[in-house]
This record gives sequence, C-alpha cells and structure tokens, in this order.
Amino acid sequence: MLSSAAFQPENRFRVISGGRSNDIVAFRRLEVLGSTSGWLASLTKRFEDVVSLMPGWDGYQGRPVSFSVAVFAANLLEAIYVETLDAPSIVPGADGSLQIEWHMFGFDIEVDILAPNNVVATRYRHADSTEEVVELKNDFSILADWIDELNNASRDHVQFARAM
Amino acid sequence: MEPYDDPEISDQDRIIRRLNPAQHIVPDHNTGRDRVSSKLFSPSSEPNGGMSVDFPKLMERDGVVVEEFVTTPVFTGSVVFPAWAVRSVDLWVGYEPISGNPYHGEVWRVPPARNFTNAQKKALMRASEWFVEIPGADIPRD
Repeated sequence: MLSSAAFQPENRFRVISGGRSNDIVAFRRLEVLGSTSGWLASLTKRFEDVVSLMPGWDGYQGRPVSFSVAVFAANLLEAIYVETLDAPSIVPGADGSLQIEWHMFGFDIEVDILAPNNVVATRYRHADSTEEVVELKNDFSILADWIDELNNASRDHVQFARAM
Repeated sequence: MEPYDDPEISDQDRIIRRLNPAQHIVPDHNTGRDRVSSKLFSPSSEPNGGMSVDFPKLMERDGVVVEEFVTTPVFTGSVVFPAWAVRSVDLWVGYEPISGNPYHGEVWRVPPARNFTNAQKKALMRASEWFVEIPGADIPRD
C-alpha cells in the first residue's frame, strides 16, 4: 500500500516570498529541498508559477494554488515517479487546488488534488473507451499502478516504433 | 450567494467560460495537439462556491462587445455552452454580478460539493464550443 504517510511528512519545498504590501506578495519563489526526481526538477518552475498566480488569474476571482496543495502534489509525484516517463502537466484550479495530467500512450490520467488527502483520480483508456474514477484519501497505490501501466504502454510504443 | 437556478435564464441561453491559455491548455501527446484541461470545468470549493461564467445576452443588451469584454486584458480564450447542458446534468445556473463584472454568474452543484462529478465535467466539455479559440487546441470530447 502506498499510503500518504509514506510521503506526506517531507516538505519538498521552502517558500521564499517578499515585497508584501497590503496582502500583495511581490514575489514568491520555491526552493527545492534535497535531491529530487527528474519530474520535480523539471516542474519546480511550474510549481513556482502556480503558487504565485495573481488574484483573478482566471478572468474571474481565481486565487493561486495553495502551498499545502503544491507540497502534497510534489510529494505524491516523488512517490510515484518513474524515470522513463515524461513529467505531467500541472493545471491550477481557481480555488487553490491543482490537477496533474498525463495524456500519452493511449491514456488520459488526471489527478485532481482538491486538498491534501482529498484527491479524485481519473483514467481514460482510448483503446476500449473505458474510464475509471477513484476518490483517494490515504491509499494512493492505484496511482502507482496506473503510472506503471502507462510506463509499460510507453515501452510497447517504443518497441513498435523501432519495429516499423 | 446561495445556489439557485434562475428561471430567467432560458435553456437556449449561451454561457461563456473564460480560460487562461497559459494555465488551462496542456499538451495531448495522444493527438499531437493541445487540449483544454478538464480542470477548467471545476467549481470553487468555497462554501456555496460555483464555477464562474459570463452571460453574453446581458452584454449584448447593454451594447457591450462580448469578445472584447471576455478577453480583456489577458484572458485570451473562452468556450461557450448552452444552459440546457448545465441543467441536463443536475447543475444550477444563476446570475451573480461581482465588482467589475455585472455579467458574471455561477454554475453550482446541488447539493453543494467541492467538485463537479466527472460526468458533469464531461457533459460541459462535450457541449462546449470555442467562443474565442486558442489555435492548435482542442476541447476534449471523450
């Protein structure tokens, strides 16, 4: 079981902010703590961007991604990291939440992090148009399984491409 | 504001949802193009929070150029869907003017919940068309 306890206590980021005036933070930077996976290395700037979004970034009243959600997402990514897969996309929600997405090798995998330990994950398989939706709070092993299967699909894709 | 379903909004009324391409558009390696993230179709998790939208009918009534209003200053994309698509998946829609946007409204889940169901998000995506298109990006249908 890949439980949240396996990755939650470690804080992957330290927030550095400054220039505060009337609740406006002029800059916010995330410093990565310790060694990280290839995914997190490539996504650090993206995490910085989404926690620093200006109020109203979505054209309405959107607010930046909350630091606790960003840390949870980073730790979740570290826990399910597979070296041979590309890093996912990161999409902010207007309410401070965040979604992680892969659209590749015949799958759409979306992990909507509404809050730490409040996750809705969806997988759509194009080959047979099947969709799975799971709500996750403490056990995230199904996500690790999905990423393993996505990695297997990437290997099949590479082998197919070489055979052509 | 308490969620409500406004009877003055007809099923045929169009509803606009703005998007920020730097945040809402992601690469889709399955198609080789970009796509609108399903996260665009999500409500706020605030109490009674909904998904923010604009009502072009009200702008047209006031002589406001809709394309200009919803793309100012940097929100360069938007999708549009009919009110019936909202109601067909048991969501409510109502006006909620806010500072700077008298044409603002919300789409709510009833009873209130932190998120729309996946079926509700997909129904909104399938019913959506580009209002201000982002070149090279698709609105997913599956």
